[in-house]
Amino acid sequence: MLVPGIPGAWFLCGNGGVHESHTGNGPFFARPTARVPADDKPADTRGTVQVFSPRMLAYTTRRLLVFVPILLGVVTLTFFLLQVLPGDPVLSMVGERYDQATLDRLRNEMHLDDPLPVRYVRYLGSLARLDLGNSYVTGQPVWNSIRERFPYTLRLAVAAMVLSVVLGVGAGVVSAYYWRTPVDLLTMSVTVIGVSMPVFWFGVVLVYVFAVRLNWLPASGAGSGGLRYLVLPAVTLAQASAAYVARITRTSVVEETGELYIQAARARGASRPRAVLRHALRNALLPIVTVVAADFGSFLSGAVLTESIFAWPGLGRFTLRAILERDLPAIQGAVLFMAVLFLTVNLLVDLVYARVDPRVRVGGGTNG
Amino acid sequence: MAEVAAAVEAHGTGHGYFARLLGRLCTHPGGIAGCVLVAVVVLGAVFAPWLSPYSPNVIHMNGSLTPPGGAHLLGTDVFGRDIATRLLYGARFSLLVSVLSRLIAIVLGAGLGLVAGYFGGRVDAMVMRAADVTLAYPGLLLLIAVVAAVGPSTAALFIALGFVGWAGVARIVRAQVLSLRERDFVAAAQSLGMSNVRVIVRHLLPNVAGTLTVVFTMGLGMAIMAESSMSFLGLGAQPPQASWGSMLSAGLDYLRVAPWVSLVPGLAITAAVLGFNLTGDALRDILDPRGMGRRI
Repeated sequence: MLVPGIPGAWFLCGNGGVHESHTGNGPFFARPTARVPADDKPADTRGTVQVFSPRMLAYTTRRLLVFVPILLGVVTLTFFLLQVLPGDPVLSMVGERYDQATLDRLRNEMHLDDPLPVRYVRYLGSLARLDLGNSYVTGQPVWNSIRERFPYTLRLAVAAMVLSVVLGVGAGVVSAYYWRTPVDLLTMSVTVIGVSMPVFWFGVVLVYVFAVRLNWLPASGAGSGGLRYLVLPAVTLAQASAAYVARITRTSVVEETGELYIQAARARGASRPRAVLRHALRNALLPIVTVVAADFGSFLSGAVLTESIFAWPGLGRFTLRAILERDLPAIQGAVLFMAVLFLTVNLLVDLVYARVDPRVRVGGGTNG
Repeated sequence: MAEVAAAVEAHGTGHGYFARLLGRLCTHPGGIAGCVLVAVVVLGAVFAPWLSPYSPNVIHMNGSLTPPGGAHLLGTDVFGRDIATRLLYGARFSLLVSVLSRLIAIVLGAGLGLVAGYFGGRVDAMVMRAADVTLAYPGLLLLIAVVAAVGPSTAALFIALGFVGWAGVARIVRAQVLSLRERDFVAAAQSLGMSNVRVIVRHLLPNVAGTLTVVFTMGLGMAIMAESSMSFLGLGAQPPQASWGSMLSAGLDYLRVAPWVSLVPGLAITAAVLGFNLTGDALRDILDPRGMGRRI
């Protein structure tokens, strides 16, 4: 079911995650916020669950069993999708001057004349050896390029996530605390604009103000790793996510404050801030963590827009360059790497929840 | 979701349904703001040729980068094209792409979701696994991969957006059908000897119409965002087509001397997406009786 009053929840269900930073509709995501019934049947029994109980093991196994076919699906879809890429890769490799013999030799070397199923099986085989092929443009192994770029993406992702959590949860709690007051209205207005603002425009505004006008921060690149270079890209990437996290936080905290245990805590003499922060927020964490985790997964998989505005040398820019240069192995490798990473992060988060929150394991929603 | 369905059922889905919906939308503060923004964008797009004396694509090199004000309300770009005019035509493009791609996504997603939810079993498993795979790609990645495969063009953008969007819709519709199919009216229809197709089209589809309305509206905002993101990356609208995203990226080289070229289209995107988001929120509030506004 819907989470009442979370406008953003619909984004998750709408278009397959087109907003760079809240793409939280991974396969394991739907349950806590959108609460679409998951495929696994609710278990009949409830009760205390130990960390390594048979039920936890069963849950993990079930999750992994779902994970593997999806992974294979992603590999397959990525492979076949990019096989229809127009243009002959050999022609773009040899350039203007070529003779038929060279063409044939190259085609043969790259096995381009083999039937598609044969190439697919060979591709799976090389994937198993972590071999993503060599770039058509540089001739370097794609895997090496990805490994080179990934630390940059990771740094940006971690910075953006920290910002998003601090700002988002902070604003959300303030909004919930001052629920239905001008403070709440103001915060929510800012956040609805925040989720509606294109990442790349916000980035450009930041560049214009802080790099062009004020000349405080560098406009692009990663420098030699200085923090100064990280600020603008991280803020840009965190923006929409923070706005979204704020909205989720507000709704789930407000929902919790209506519960009896909050009244009980207040009756026992807990102050209102304490009731909100120590009791309500704590129980409202599940949907918040879900959103943050999904965002982190998508940050990690390369923020194409942010990286291209700030010429950040991460995976997103690598992918974009590969596409513009029609570098098939690089596109395929990068897309696959990101999708697998995204899936894995979601899987891990899911398993962590199941450990933390027994309600997840028995298949019920958070209202269950 | 079932609550939405129940609400829709209570209001009826027959004649005047959308009129009534619109009426209630006008009593919702966010809904009013959203509708106004959407109306401005839609009217601007529809009446573009009458609203502006300029052509969006004719180049005037001697009028390059004119600041806002005077004859050119929002200034001109590096080719001397009037930015306000290009914004209006960009609205046309954005709306066209997003409406069509959402329709593709809704038709595909609702169709597959209805079938999956109604029949269950193996059909359901297959559809849902396909949806899982589609949703396994983060952010714009699948969109980018599809466009890379087909080659950047407007048609590629439609296909990619529709293809990427179906899975979310299918999931929602299927979840709702799962609960609807247990209801008495479905059993009654079946026991009267109705064919499965008829049950799906005549009885289940009307019950998910409200949800589809909300999904469509919210999706429009996201589709506009996606379209402008792709155009910004050079993978969407191809020149000289006026598009907000490509206008913004074209202005980046002149950010120092002519910031308006980049900044103005971004405002247009924000306004349009905000409009659809607010409208979608309001629709959801109206259609979902469990809405917070009434709970506490």
